[in-house]
Amino acid sequence: MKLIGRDIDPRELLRAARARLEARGLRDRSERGASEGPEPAVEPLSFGVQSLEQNEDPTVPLPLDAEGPGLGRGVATARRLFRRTAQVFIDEALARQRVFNGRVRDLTAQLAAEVLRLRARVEALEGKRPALPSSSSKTRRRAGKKPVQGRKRAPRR
Amino acid sequence: MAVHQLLPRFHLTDTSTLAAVELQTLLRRLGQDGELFALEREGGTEALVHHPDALRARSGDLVLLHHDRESSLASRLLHLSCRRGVVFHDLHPVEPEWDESLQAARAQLTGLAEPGALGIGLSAFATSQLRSAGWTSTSAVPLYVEAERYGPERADAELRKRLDSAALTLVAVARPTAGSGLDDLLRLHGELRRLRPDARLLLLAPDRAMPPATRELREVARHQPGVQWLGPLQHAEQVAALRCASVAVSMDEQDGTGLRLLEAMAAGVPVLAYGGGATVEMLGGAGIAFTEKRFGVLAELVVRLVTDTALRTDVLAGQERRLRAQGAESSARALASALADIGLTGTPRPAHRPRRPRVGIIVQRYGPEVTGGAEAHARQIVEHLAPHWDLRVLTSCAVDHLSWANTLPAGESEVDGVPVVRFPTPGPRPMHRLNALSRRLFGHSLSLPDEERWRALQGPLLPGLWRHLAEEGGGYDGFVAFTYLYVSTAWSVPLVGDRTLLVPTAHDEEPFHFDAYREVFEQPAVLLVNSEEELALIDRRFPGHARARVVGVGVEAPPAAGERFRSRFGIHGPFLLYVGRVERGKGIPELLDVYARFRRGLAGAPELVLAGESSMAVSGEGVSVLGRIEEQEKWDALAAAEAVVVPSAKESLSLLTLESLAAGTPVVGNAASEVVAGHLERSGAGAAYRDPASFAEAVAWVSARRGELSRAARTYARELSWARVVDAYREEMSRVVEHR
Repeated sequence: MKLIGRDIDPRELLRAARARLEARGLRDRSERGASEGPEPAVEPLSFGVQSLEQNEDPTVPLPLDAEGPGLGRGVATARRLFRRTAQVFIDEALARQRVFNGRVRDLTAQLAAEVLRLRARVEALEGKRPALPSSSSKTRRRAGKKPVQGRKRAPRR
Repeated sequence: MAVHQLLPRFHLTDTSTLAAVELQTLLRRLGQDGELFALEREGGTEALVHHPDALRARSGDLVLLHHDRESSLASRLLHLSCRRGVVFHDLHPVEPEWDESLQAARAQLTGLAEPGALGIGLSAFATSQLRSAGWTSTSAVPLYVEAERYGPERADAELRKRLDSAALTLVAVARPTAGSGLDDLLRLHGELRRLRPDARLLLLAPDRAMPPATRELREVARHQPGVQWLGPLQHAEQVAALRCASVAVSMDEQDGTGLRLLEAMAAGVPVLAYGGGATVEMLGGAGIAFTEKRFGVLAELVVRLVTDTALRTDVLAGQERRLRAQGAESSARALASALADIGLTGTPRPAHRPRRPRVGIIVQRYGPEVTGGAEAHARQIVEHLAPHWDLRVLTSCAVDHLSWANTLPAGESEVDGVPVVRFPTPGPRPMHRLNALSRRLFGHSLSLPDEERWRALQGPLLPGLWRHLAEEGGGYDGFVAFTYLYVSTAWSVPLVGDRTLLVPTAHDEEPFHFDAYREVFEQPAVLLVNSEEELALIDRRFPGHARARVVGVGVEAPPAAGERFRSRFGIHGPFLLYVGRVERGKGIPELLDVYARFRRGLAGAPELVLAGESSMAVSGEGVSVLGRIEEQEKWDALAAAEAVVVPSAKESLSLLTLESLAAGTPVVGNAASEVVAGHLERSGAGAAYRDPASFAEAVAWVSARRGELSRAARTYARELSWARVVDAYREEMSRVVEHR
């Protein structure tokens, strides 16, 4: 552990704090490492396609978040009850939307894969890096999947 | 070229909101115009922030998106045919898929990166995040904190009283994001309670909406002894909470601005912060940063910071130094450099030295249809300086200053042979909203966004004027701007400040205490004030103001005939006269009250004649309301009156007083106005009143000595020549032109 500051004597401060800690019969233990530093980048095309896949079925509800105890819990219970009783109607009403979403997902995946392939090709032509073989693209592989047949539902949360 | 800013959400306590308002302030100082647009706007901010559908960006404009969460604005930005960029500090999870929304926002950040786009990080750390997301043209523009806003007198008294305690108190911000270290704060608090069983932890939560994980921690915190969870706070309440604290702590690992640490420093609280995110760079050696979360050691350090007076004093002195170094000037330099990197610089000024300076007159309303002291003042200045300068009046289309409705046609026209360019307002001002907001805000210490939303509602909003100044302002040698209060001046002065002669017409009113007006008084080339009293007022409020000079106006009474007025309006007996806007702000209700009492107590009391545009119902025995009268009728009325009454407590010049003295008519003035009282004291040509009794005494005293007071009035008014005023304006404009 290090202290940083222009207006302090870091060594003396740290030494004194540790000494007082020891006088109380405690040891200065190292805690878990912190997760600082920039977050990794997220490739927008791949993320978009994945997210489309995960959210393509409009009949699958979003998770219920209870707002603490009391009234919040009551509201969550009411919403859960509504979902159970009305699910059959929701499925019926949104059947075509599900088909449409599947088509959008497939189209987007194909276009995204094409963009990634072309981007890699352009970079290769500009001499930045060798072009990736088209089959190595994760998104392209996904684009090649057959359209979803029948019902595909994420587990209920 | 304009620099517009887009925000997913404009809430007054959000960091992005403050960043947008600060950037807009800095952009004006750099000569760049631009507006704010947000998808979701807090109530009462509609005048300041528009919906993104209203954005009309031109090809040369730059649009900056404050990308702090997943939003549809990212796609919208990609399809704008202008220069694009983002402002970034951190990502905020949003409902309903909290975790996924962070990923989506990160994907959008990468998707927005394109060659030539400008990435502005609100710290070097945030800039490194941009680079890792694929941005190549990046710059760090740190936020700044105005220390005055965090002074002890700015704290909300009620909350301060409620929170005040002798117990050792930690204060920290509970951001609802991963890496904010909320769990670590609770652990440190637990450790500290072993040393100081009465220790408290105040957790300031800037946002009500929070992901499930943070909500769980909030529940844990609420059940932990000594922890107080304070929801979103108004600025004054935040200052109160900070000022009740012994030490400000941060365990944040991803803080992208360091803003909350700067705020604690401004409130005079020593800072102990984990050196993650932007913390170390923003502390800049001040406070104490640490590299590992060893809670036992940190608890000991907290106690040492509270008990070791010498250490605390050194740390606080270092923090003050840091705040001075990390001010608006430093942020403005960083922003100027970022804009220069993409070729965006202010409009160049003409290099030639003109034979006749080309001067823009900036005033909220203008024309013969307009009544109002400052507006009349502006017209007189134009009339007297037209022979010396190439003038162009830049103003609104409004006649009515309550609604700013676009009554007069927009575009170029002429008034008395002088070109006038009128810019329209986006729509009439809802006065009831301004009144409601004023009632809510006045009397409290406010944040910059709060003050800006009030100023926007005050208006008049003239986006065309600001664009004109940003794009064509370089074609003017200088400007004369009237009335500090209105945004027609307040937002124009930063754009063209160093070439501006400001006629502030300031008086002690609530908005005069807004910190946002500081730049209006500090940036002009010179302040041309109307009286010694106005200068003293500005000295007290803004000690760092630009050089100032008492100039006022010239008042030269034309020949007048009192009898002509009497026969025209059928007034035969002695009367007291008021000329000007008949409205509450001018003290008319109070005048009617004292006059009614005066009349009841004196048989044969002189009548009260009110002349001028009226925006209120007026009635009362012996009271005549004439409405608007012509210029010559005014001088005839002044000559005929027994005395002139000046009831307004808020005057910077009181043209009515000066005109009355020039006409040789004594004045009975409200003593609450330092300016009026000063004129009366120096001239000896009238009396001041404070209440009904002194009003009756003043009228009686003036009536008994009318001839003697009339001579004193004329002697005083001889000093008010236009030649003196014109010389002063010309001399100051010459300085501006020479120093260009």
